[in-house]
Amino acid sequence: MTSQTTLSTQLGGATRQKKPDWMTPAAPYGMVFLLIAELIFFTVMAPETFATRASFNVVVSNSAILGLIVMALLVSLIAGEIDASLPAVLTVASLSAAALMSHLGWPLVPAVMASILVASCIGLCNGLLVVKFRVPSLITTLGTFTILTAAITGLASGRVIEAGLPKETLKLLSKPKPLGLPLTLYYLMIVAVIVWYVTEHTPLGRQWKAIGSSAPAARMAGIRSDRLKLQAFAAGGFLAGIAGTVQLFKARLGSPNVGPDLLFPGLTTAFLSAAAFRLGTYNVRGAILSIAVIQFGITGLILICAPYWMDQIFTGSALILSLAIVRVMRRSSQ
Amino acid sequence: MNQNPLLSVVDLHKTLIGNHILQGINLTVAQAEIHALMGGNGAGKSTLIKCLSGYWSIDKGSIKVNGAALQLGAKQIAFVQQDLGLIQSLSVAENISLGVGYQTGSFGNIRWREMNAAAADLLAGLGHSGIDPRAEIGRLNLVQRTAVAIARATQGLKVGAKLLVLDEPTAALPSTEIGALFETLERLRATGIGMIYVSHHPSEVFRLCDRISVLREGKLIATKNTKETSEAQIVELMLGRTLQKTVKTPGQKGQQTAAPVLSLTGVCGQKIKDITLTIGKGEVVGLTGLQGSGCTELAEIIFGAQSCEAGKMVLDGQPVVFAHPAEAVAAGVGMVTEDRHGNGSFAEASLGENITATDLRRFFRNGWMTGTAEAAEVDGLVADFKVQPPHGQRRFSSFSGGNQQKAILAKWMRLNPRLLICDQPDIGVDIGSKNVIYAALRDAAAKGAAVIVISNQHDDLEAICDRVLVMRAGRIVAELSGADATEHKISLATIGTQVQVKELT
Repeated sequence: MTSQTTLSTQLGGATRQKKPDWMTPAAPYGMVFLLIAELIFFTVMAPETFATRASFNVVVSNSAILGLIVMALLVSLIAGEIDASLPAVLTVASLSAAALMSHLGWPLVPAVMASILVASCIGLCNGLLVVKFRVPSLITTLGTFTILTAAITGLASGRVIEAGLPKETLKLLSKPKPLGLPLTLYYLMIVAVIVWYVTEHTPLGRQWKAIGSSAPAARMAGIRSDRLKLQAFAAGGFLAGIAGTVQLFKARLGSPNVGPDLLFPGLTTAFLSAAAFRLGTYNVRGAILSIAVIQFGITGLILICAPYWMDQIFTGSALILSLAIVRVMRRSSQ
Repeated sequence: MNQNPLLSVVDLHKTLIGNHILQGINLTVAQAEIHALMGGNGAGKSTLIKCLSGYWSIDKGSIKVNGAALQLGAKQIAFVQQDLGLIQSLSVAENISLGVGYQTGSFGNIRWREMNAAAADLLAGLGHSGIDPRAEIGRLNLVQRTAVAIARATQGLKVGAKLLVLDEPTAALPSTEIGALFETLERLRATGIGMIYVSHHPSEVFRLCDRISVLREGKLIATKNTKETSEAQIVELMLGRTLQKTVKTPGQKGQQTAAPVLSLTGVCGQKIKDITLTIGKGEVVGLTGLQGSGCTELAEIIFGAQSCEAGKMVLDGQPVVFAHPAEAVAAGVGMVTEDRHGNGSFAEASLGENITATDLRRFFRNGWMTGTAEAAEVDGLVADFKVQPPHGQRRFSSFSGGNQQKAILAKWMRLNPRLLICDQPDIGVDIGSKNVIYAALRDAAAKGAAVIVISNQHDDLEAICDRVLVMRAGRIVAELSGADATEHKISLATIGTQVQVKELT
């Protein structure tokens, strides 16, 4: 008995008080400090322009749609897969809702519901391809991304759908600014809270995390990995559908151009989420913080008149550095 | 040692994240000596080996090989890692050549024919001429893979190293194959090569090694000449207390109640054929056989992880067919898998998350995962199973093998399974943890569960099982119960020797 107790003291006892886990307590909040440092830096560098309501509004309005697509991407990432087609699904949802209203004269609510259903089905199809044929999801969904993007271009001929949309209703759904913040930000907050709740506080989310951590181990623990993966893909499609709907509200027209451009910023932000709060795990709070860090950074760089390509260098470096730091910290703690 | 030792380690210290893991190690290995390094999990064996391999730098002290200081990349020492370190998708010859580089022709092209021939020679020299050098590693069995890893290491020796370190080379080997490995090692010893042989098993060490060093809690407790010591003394040194060898009381032996929990009739799978067996309530049944005899496949078929091609399975009177492990778990079946890292655990998740993964819904109350209830249950199990250090929120991979296995057992035991299958629960587990695990299995049986233990440790099967079933080439070939279930008879039955064994076929 005595030998076991001393062993435990040596293995963990001495360091336990300082380290609640395998990391220093401050590490999960490193990105919070980064955000604060960034805000101070740009406030000092561009005092007249950065710390203003106008620049804040720019950040917020850029963040909403990106944030929604990041939420959609997070679900499949947590479940150990990746659905790169989601930005294209967003466009499909937004265009199909617009087309249903414009060409077929559907009312807003059924049109939106139908387009979200379509988006969920596309997600489910991606899931089926991955689960049934065991093709790596990145490859499968890059394929569907390319197909969907081409189909959008072909069917919409590059034109926006504007005629016959209920402009007034759409305005009502996007224009108001409760407490001075755009309504789209509230949509993002509602979706983020729901995704956070499902991924971190329900058995479903924990099981997604389990299959993301090791699908074979999950299977042998009696967890149905295939079914859960299908659910994750369908949920991703559903959330991309919502993102498309909000995009429609915001633009008040169906545009074929928005979605595909979100692929890389969306993935970058989703990956970066693993460097905050729950290190090594894709998580909602980390994603929201990542959006803030990247969007304030980009806006700040514009305001201090950095060259236009600087923002991408900033985003890329932030991603690589943060994840490399997380890796190094985990290794040194082994 | 009159001549210069091959390896001399003097006052070696190593601290990792604040833990003083190695505290002044002194160790010498002479030429043509097989030197056993023993110790429980967490004693510092792995850290010492990682210092020798240059993976960790040393804080204080010195390591000298043949009188010269240890240098990175100098290939002074050859290693056979516990996981063998082979690349699954490459061929035998390619794996062997990885260490020394490929032989190339005048255009930089690989000379495949020469390379394959050299690999075949090397394997033949180790007594494994049956291995095709062009075969993919993934297609070989574990015995053959171990041979390939040793062949690769000995090839490193040809380049100049005279010291070979083997980290638990028998961990995955059935006991009947160990003799062949020992023969190979003795052949190497005869050429003057010194070896460090890391093992948990005193019985192996006494068969093979010249001297034994025992590590405990980061200190080298003693180095003994094998001839001048006994197994009991070594085990006592390893544990720092006297070992309670068997966890079973004699009265339990042969206990068998009428009510069968599981009965199989004519069950067939890919490799197993016509399996018929019955396991009663409160019974611990051992299942053993050589590599490839089908024990794991049988277990996975019962658990729904592989498909049952024919036959009938009845669980507690109900005919069942499990298409997925989830159905087996729902029906009260648990399984500790053989491959702990591959499909037995979530390495990056916490120990607690590993334990509760099987039925998260229990902690889902009022639409919320209750972290406190989950943590309380984990803490209770961590205490019950003596997991060290007792911190359920730590990352699973940071625990030693024995403690990981205790946690995996806790995961199933908390569900109170009616049938618990344990596939090689003793792999990479120290003796102290093994006793905890076996005691828990007897405990589960005492509470009315039926327990199947698959193991190649026949002495352990003798100690804990009421009955032992022996498999060979996909069939159950012998059933040993009561006084017949001895280590000797089990071993004989696995290799098919005709003895006074109740043969079933």
